[in-house]
Amino acid sequence: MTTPSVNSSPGQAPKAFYWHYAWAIVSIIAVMQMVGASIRMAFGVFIEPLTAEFGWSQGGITFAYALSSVVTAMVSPFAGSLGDRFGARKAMMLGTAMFFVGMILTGMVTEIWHLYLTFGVLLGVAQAVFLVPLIPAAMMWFRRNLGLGMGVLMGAWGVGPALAAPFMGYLIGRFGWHDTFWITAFGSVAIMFAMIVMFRDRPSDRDDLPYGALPGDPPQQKVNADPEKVKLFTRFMRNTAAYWNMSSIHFLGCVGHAVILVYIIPIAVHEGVSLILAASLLTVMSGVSVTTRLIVPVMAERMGTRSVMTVAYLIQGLTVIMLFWTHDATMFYLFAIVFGIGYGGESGGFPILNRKYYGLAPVGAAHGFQMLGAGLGMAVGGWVGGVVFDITGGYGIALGISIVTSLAGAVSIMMLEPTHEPLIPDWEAPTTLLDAQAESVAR
Amino acid sequence: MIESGVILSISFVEAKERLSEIPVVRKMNLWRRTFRVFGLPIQFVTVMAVSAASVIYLGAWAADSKIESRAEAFGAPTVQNAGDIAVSPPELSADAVAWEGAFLWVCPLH
Repeated sequence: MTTPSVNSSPGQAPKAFYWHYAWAIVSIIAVMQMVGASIRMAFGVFIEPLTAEFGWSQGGITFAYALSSVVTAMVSPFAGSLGDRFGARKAMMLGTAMFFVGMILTGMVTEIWHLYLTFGVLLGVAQAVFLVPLIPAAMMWFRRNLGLGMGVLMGAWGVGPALAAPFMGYLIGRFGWHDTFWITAFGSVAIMFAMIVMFRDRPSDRDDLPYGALPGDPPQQKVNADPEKVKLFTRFMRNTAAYWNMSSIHFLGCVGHAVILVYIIPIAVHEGVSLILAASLLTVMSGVSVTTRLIVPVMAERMGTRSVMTVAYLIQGLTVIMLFWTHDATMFYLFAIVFGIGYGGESGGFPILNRKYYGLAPVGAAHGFQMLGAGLGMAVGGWVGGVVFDITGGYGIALGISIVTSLAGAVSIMMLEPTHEPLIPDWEAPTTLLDAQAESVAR
Repeated sequence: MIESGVILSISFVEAKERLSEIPVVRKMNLWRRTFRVFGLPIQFVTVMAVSAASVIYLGAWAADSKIESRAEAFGAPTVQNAGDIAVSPPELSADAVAWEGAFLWVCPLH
């Protein structure tokens, strides 16, 4: 039994930062994200060993990566609902078990269709099941100052790719690709299991209050939400235009930066920059994006979510125009820094928008649907640059698509509903009052 | 009741409140709802439709271009006999022809 942590005593000003188990939850989720997503982030290091052993084409191998991304995107809405219905902890257990089986089987593949089935489908589903419910679960731990918590989580998400690839590369060099999958499976699952043991779905599971709770706030429910009530609120969400539009906005944003993330190296090399310098552009972008991932949710909460997100999308889109006149390494680095600011800020506002539009209701379904948009956007953006290059022998049209989608995303954000009042009834109100509230919301 | 000319001299918020008093406007509920197509917001439908159309067009363009370049290099296959594996060069896989054929079949402009 713990003593409930309340933000302040009566008469005292609310504190923005203080110790609370919510920060342990944020750390757990950050580690889960880094460990669970590392294998996909580092997939590139497996291409060469697989080609050398089986003689598979690069296109055939990377199709497994694309398949995995699309499967994760397609399963995300269901994974979000799973977290809402049964709690993130159970979803994490199921996802971790699937991850373990998928990793062990991927280490045993001998035919390319085995790779599609194990890495593409099984690990794709596993990633959605244990990753999608995490952000909505973290939101349950914050009644106020959600931006601070989300900022830390988003920042950690950017650190993963920087660490995963060199570590996997080291393991492959030392033990070979089969053992690397198995070592990663056992190592990751051990860490994930330890995280699950410490994880709690909601503050009331520890007899605690959410971060930022003030005296007089309604008490949080102690058990998993009534499935009927969750279903009802999900229906309310689906009836709002924002539910659909946020997904298409995430799609546009991801198309916009996927083109750059996938093709900035070939574009720079095409302009005469050396391969090593070109590769470091991605590191610069990731490094800068960690800072903005951290800052944007905090700014979005305090300065207006739509305004901050619009600026991030505009920076992401307008910066790409620079590439039409960029021919030397210095300018490419300048591009990487400015683009990293916009790219890092692209996704940070969505959890804040969810909170503003849907209040304290379980938002797993909405978040999952946004992840569907993001996943499809990454897939389309990653594909389009190669197709355009094959046809035209240049990247001009692909850059144009990146600019247009980012700017269209900015316009779509401006067209979203104002965030000053929730779009659905109050989740914490007694069920008997729901009809009346729904009526007033509809008006 | 709104008198003509008065609405121009009042604030937006007041104008919105007054307009909302009119039963037809209240029923239309313009302030919260957006225009919908098949029950989905038009903004979402537009983004998805334009994106799907662009993907189909680019895919078909790429397929057309690949088939044409193979035809130039080997004399076969062309757009017309792209599905005929028997006349394809050895390095051309059946899968490649399948995706090309699918894009060309779906795209009305290629």
